[in-house]
Amino acid sequence: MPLPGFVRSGVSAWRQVAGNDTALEHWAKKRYLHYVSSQLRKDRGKTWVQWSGRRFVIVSESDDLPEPRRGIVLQGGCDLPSMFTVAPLIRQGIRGTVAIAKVTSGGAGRHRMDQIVQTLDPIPEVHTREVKEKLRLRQDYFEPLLFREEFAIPDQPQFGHFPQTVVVMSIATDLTRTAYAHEQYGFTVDPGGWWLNQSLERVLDDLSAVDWFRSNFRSVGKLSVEKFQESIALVVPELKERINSKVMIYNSLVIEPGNQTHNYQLIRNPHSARRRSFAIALAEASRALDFHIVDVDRVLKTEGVREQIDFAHFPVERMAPIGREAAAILRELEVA
Amino acid sequence: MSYGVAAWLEEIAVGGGVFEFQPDIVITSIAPEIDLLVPPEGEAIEAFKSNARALIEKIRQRCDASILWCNTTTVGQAIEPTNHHRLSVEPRSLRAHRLCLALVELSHELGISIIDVDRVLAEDGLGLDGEISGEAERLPVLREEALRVIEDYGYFDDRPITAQLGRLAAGAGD
Repeated sequence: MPLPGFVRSGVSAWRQVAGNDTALEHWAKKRYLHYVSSQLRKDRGKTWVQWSGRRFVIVSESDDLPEPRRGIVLQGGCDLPSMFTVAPLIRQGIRGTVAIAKVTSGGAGRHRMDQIVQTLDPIPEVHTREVKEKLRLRQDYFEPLLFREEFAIPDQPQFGHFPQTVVVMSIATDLTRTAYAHEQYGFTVDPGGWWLNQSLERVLDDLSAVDWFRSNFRSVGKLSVEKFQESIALVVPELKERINSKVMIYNSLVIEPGNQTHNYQLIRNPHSARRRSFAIALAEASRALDFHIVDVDRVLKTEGVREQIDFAHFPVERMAPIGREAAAILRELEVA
Repeated sequence: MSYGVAAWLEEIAVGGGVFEFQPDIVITSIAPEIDLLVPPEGEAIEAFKSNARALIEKIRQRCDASILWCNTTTVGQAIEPTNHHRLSVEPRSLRAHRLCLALVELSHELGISIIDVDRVLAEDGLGLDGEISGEAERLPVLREEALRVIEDYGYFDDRPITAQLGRLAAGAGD
């Protein structure tokens, strides 16, 4: 989340005086993030109450958040916040309480389907401790967070717990992220979530970490469509059987807006072909594993894609039409 | 009736068709193939690609024309299933995705050009409710896209392109 201009100026001035990464800066950052994530807005209609925060929305028939409670968990992908636009579509005449929340943080670096699979078998802490420290990964980075029966809204304990009735994922992460495997233990990480958000000076400030990363990890590249198929065939049944969740997965726009390529003879791995392959693989997985697809490709093509800078990032006005598609699925699943 | 690649190959086999005159450019489309893809669709796609390879080879042998192949939009009907479980026939959108991907693979393999109907129609939006509406209104943007590709080949330059020179030379030698 971008900082306001006056805060950025203050941080910059502080760093010039005290240096980077001071304990005080870490403390202030933690407090600021806590403040932002604990902000709450409440709206009310005749038959509903809605609480909205940075990474969640709760819709209920009354202030006391009555049963039945349904929880909708969002896992990865910068397209998933469109799920928050579902709230106004389901609140009229709502029965009980529905929470929609993104409960894991840490950027895009932990949501590839094969990374979700690796959380199913615990990795000994002794193998991951140094990696988490050096790459500044969250303590729960290797934990099976997606397979918990219940979740709580981060920094909002007053709302209590919700069952993971529906898990919503997106293949955007599978399409784009590159992973790195530990040379000795084999587990994979995607440190991009932290590295990409820092200034270059800050990353290069600790070149020993770069050397350490180079000698301990090797790139395993982007996820192959075969590995995606193999992974999704493990994740979806596990979600259904272990925690009785329903599953919805966002597909992705397959075309590249503005790309005028018409002859692919000299292009070895066109990304648009990769996206088509994943769209087909996702549909085949839906057929085999019985889950719903939020057809982002169809919605965006219907609405128009000229303003998009790339396939993955659509204008905020496209959130609501995608939310409509998702709301229709939730009604079909009798969750909303 | 849908007129697909297989029917075109049969027509060529008995003579005539596209070779009755010597075209510089052959433009075709995968749209008719959507209704011809019968389950299992994966195998049907391989049959399409095999027929398409044969057709491209024949066109190149007979007249060495540049081949422009239109892909198709994957948005085609108002309601598409969101869950493919227990569907006996794949939805139109999925069959269109399969054909579009096959076309990229053929372009990579054989160097044909693709008129990207899927992208061009999506840029301004296909309209609400998922129905392809106002097709005639959209023809100008598709025409512009086709002309852009033809221009890329150099057909609008004030001189023959290499393939045309080759044909002229071959004709002169006859």
